[in-house]
Amino acid sequence: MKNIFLFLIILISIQAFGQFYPMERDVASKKEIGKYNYLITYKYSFRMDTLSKNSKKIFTDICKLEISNSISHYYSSYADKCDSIMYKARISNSRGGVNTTNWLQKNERPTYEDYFMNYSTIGLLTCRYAIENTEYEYIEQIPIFEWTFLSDTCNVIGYECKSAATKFRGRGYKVFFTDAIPIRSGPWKFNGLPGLILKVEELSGTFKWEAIGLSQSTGNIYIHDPLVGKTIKDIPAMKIKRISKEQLQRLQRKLWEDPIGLKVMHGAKMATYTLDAKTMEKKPFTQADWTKFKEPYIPPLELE
Amino acid sequence: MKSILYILFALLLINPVYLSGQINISGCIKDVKNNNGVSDINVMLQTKDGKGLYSYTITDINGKYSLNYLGNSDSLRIAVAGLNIKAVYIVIPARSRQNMDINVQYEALKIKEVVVKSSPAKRNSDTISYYVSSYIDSIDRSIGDVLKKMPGIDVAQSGQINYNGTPIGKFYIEGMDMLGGAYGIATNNVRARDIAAVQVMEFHQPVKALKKIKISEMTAINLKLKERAKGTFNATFLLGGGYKPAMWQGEVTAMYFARKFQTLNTYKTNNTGEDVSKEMGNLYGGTSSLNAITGIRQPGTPPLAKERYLNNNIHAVSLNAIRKLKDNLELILNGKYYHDSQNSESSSVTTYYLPDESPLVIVEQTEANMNIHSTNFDAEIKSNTDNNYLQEKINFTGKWNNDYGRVNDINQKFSVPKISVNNIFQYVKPFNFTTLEFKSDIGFYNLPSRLIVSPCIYPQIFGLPQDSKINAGQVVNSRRFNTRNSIWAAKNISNWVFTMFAAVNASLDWMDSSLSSKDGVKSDSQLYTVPDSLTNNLYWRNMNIQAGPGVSYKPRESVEISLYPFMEYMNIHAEDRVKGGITNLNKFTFNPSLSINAKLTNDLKLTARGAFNESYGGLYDTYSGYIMTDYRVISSKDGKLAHYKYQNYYVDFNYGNPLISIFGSLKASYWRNNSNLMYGTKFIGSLSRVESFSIDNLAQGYNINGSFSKRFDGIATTFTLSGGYSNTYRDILREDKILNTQYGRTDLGLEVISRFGENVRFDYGITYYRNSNTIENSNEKLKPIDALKQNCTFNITFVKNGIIKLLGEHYFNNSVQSGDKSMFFADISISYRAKRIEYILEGRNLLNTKMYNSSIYNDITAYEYNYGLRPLSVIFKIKFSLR
Repeated sequence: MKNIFLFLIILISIQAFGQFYPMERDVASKKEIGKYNYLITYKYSFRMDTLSKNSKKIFTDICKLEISNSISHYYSSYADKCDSIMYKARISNSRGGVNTTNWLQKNERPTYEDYFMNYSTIGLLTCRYAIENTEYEYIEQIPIFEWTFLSDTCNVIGYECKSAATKFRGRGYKVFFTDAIPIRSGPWKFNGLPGLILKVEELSGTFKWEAIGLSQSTGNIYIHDPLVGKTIKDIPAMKIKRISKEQLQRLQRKLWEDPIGLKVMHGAKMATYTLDAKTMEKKPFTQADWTKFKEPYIPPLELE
Repeated sequence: MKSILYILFALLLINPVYLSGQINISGCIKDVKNNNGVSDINVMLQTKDGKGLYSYTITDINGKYSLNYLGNSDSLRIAVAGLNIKAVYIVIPARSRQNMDINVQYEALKIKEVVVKSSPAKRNSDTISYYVSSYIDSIDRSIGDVLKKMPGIDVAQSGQINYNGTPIGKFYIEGMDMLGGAYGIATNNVRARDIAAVQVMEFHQPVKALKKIKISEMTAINLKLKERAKGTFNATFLLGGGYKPAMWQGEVTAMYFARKFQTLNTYKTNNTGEDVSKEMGNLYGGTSSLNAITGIRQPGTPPLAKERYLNNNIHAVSLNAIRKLKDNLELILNGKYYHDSQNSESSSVTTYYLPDESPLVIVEQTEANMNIHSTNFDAEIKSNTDNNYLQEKINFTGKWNNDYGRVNDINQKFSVPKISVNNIFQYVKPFNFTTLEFKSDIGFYNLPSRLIVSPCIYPQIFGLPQDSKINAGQVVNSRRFNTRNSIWAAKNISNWVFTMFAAVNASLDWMDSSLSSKDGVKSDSQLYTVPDSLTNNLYWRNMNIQAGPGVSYKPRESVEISLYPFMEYMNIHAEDRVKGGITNLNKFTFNPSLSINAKLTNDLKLTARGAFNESYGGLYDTYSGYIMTDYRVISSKDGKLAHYKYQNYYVDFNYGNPLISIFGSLKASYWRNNSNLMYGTKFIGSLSRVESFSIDNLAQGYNINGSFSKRFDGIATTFTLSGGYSNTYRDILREDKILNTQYGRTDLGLEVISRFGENVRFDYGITYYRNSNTIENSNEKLKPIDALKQNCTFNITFVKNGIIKLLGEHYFNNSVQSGDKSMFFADISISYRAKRIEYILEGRNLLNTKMYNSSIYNDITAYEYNYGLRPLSVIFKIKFSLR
C-alpha cells in the first residue's frame, strides 16, 4: 500500500490523508451573535483508534467555552487558529501556499466542532461539525442530564470541586464542578449542575476535559455565516448544511471507513490510475480500490 | 374507641414521609431590597461542612424552591448561589419539614481568574519554539540571559550560542539575517522582554532554493518579536564610574525592528575590563585569512570572566542595518570599529620535557601592552526565494596592532597593519532538469609585520659572540591573492539526488622576511647585512581543480545517505628567490566522504560522517630561512613540502524533546593524520630552534562528549550535565629524539539554574577537568593536572524592582607550585529600577584576590602561570531606556 501514489487530478482539500482536517472557515464570514462575559479554556484529550494497538495514543485540543447572559459557545481554539492562519495568508496575498496546521504538535489535533446553546431559540442546542468543505449542522433540545452526586472532591485550577456522575447516550461520565462559580455550563454538551463544570472524565478513558484557564473578560461570540462576507471572491467558501444527527453520525463513520468516498462525495475528483513507486507501472484505480484506504477508527462521543 | 383515635392521630402526625426518613425543605428566595422572589437561583442541600452535595434545585419564576433529603445527618447546610447574587449559607437541623424563606442580595460575581499557561517549548518538525515568557524573570535583561535557561542552549560571554553543544550557524531576527557572524551584538543587547519566542531550527538550509536538494547540518536561531516591539524604536544609555583604578563605562544602544527594515547600533566604551569587541567578532569563525607568524610573547589567558583580569581601554562602535528592497531582496550593511589598549602581566614557568635529560625550565616575568585598531565593513545584497538565490558580499577588514612587551629584561616591539578585501558571490537557480549553484570567493590580503627584540639574548644566531649587545629585528611581509570558484549541479529523481561538482581554485602567495641584528647605537633602519640563512623571498602559485560526482539517497523521508568522491588535481609552482630554486609539482588526490543524516524519531537525530582528505602544505610550511617567531623561538621549515593524509569519522546523536523538556547530545569522533614531515625542536639555552625533518609519522585521537539538559517547569529549574573524554596520540621530535606521547583530557560539569519562590534565583555550576600526559618511551612520569571550577550566584529581589546579586567563585588547580592552589572570588551588585531608569552599584573582587594561578599541559610542555588580577573595585552605573 505504501508504494502506491495517488494522483488526485483535482483535490479540493489539499490535506494529507490521515489528517481529518476540513478546509478552513473564512474569518470574513464570522457573524457576531452576542458578547461573552466568561471565558473558560479546557484541555480536551481524546484517544483515537481504540481498536488497534496504538490506542494509548492521546490527542489534545484546546477548547474554549464562551458564556454570555443568554447563550454559550463551545469550540476548538486550534481550529480557530487554523482559520486565522489561512485568513492572514489570504489578506497578505501570500504566494506559494500556506500550511495552516504545521504549527501543531504531533499529539495536537483540532476538532472542527461548534456547540451553541440557546442560540436563536432558548432551550435549543445548535451543533456544527465540519467535514471537507461543509459544516454540517443539526439542532436538538439542550440535553437534560441525570446527575448523581458523589462524595469525591478535587481541586481544579485552584477551585474546590464536587463530583457527580451521569450516563449520556451510551457513555458514562464523572464530572467535577465548582459551586463557587454558579454557572450551570460545561464543555461540549454538558450542563445542568449548580456550578461550572471544570473537569470531565469519560469512564472508558477515551475522552477527558479539564479546565486550564478561566477569565471574566468580555468579547464577541461569533458564528460562521457565508452570507456575511468572503475574504476572496473566487475561492469557494465553506458551506453550511442542515442535516439530522443520525445523518451526521453516518458521515462521521465514513471518515475512517471510507475516507476517499467521503472526499469524492464532497467534490474531489479521484485519479483513474496509480503508479507503483518501484516499477513506475500504471495501474487502474477504481471505486473498488477506494475502500482499501481506511483510516484509524475515530471513536464517537455519542454511541446512541 | 378513644384509644384507636389516639393511634390514628399519632399515625397522622408520623406522616408517611417521616416514616421513610425523607426531609423536605421549601421556601422562597427573596431579594432583600424589595422582598420579591428571585428566579433561576441555585439552591443546594449540602453536608454540614459544605463539602458534599445531597441535592439541588433552581428557583422558579416566583423564587420558590423545594428540596428533599433522605439520610441520617442531624444537620444540613443550605447554599444559595446565583449569577450576581451574594452566596448565602445556612446550617439547619435536619427536621422533617421546614419552610425557609431566604433573603439574598445582588452582588457582581467576581471569579478568581486563571491564566492559561502555555507549554514552555514546542516542537514542530525540525523547529523548536521556546516561549520566552516561560523562562524570563525579573533579573534577566538581554535575550542572552534568558537563552541560558532554555534547556539545550548555552551562551558564552561573547554572545556565542550553542545548541546541544554545537555552535549555531545562522542567527535571525524575525527571519532577517542582519548581523551575520557578529550576532553576539544581538544576544547581549536585544532586550529579553521584547522577544516572544526563540525558535531553534535544526537541519537549517538557509538557501531556500536548495531546501529539498542539499541537506544542511546547521542549526539556526530566530528571534520572534512581541507585537509591541515591532516597528518601535528603542535606545538604551548606560553611564558608569568607579574606583579602583579610576573607571568609566558608557554605552549607547539603538535598535529598530520592522518588517522591511531593521537596525541595531551600539557604541560602547570602558576601562572596566569588559571586552565589548568580542560580541562584534565573527562567531561563525572559519574564514580563511592570513595571520602574522611573529609577535610578542603574551601571558596565557585565564579562564575567568574578563572583568576579573583585563586592563583595557576600549571604544567600540557597531552599525548594522538590513533593508528589504523588494519582497525577497535584502540589502545588508555592517560597519564595526574598535580601538583597544590592553595591558597584562604574569609570571610563568614553562617546563619542556626532554628525552633522557632533565626538563628545561624557563621562568618568565611577562608584561604586554596591545594597542589595536580594528575595522570591518560589509556590504551585501541578497535575494533568497524558492526560485533563485543570489548573494553578493564585499568585505573590508583592517587591523592595526602596535604591541609592546617585556619578558624579564627583554623588550619586544611588534607592529602589523593587516588589510584584507574579500568578495563573495553565490547564485543558485533551480531549473526543470537540474539545480545549479555557482560560488565564487576572491580575496586579497596584505600583512607586513615587524618584530624588534632588544636585547637579543642569542647573538650566536647571527654568528656573533654570546656577549654581544645587539638587538634583533624580524621583518615578515606577506601578501596573498586567492580565488575559489565552484559550480554544483543537482538533479532530483525519486528518492535520489545526483550531483556534479567542479571547482577551480588559485592562490598566489608572496612572502619575504629578514632576521637582522643591530646594535643599540645605530638607528632601527641601519641593519647589519643579513645572511641568506636568515632571509626568505618566496613566491607560490597554487592552482587546483576539483571535480566529482555525488549521490544522495533517501530510502525514507527521514533518512539521507550521501556519498561525495572528489578528485583533485593540484599544480604548485614555488620559487625561492633567495636560493634561486624553482619547483613545479603536479599532484592528484582523491577525497571521498560519506555521510548519513537520519531522523530516528521526531526528537532524536543522527548525523554520521566519514571523510578522507589528502592535502599538501603551503608556503608557510616550506620557508627555509630562519624566522624569529618570538623572542626565544626561531624556526625554519627547510623547504620541504608537507603532505598530509587525514581521516575523520564522527557520529552525533542529538535529542530535543520540548514536551518533556529534555535535551541532550552524544558525540564521538576518531581522526588520524599521516604526515611526511616532523617539526623538531632543539633548545640552545632557552632558545627554541624549530626545523622540519622528513620522517613519516602518524597522529591520531578520539573524542567522546555528551550533554544532558532537563528543565523542571514546575520549579523553574534547569539542570545541565556535561562531560567529555579525549585522547591524542602523537609523536614529538625533541632534541633529535622521537617521543611517543599521549595526551588525555577529561571534563565533567553540572549546572543548575533555579528559582526559590518569586524572589530568589539561584545559579550553581561546577566543572572538573583532568589533563594527563604520558611519554611512552621515556622514564619521565608526568603528574596529571586536576582542576575544579565552581560558581554560585544568588539574585534576591528585596523590594519590587530592587535586586541584590551575590556571586561567589572558586578555582582549584592541584599542580600549582607557586601561589595558592585554591582561589576565591566574591562580587556583589545592587540594582534598582524605577520605570525606565535602572541604578546599579557593583562591588567586584571583594576578597581582593590578586593572582590567578594555573597549570596546564600543552603536548609535553607544562605551563604554569600567575596572572595579575584587577583589584577590589566599586562601580556605579545608571541605565536609561527610552521605552
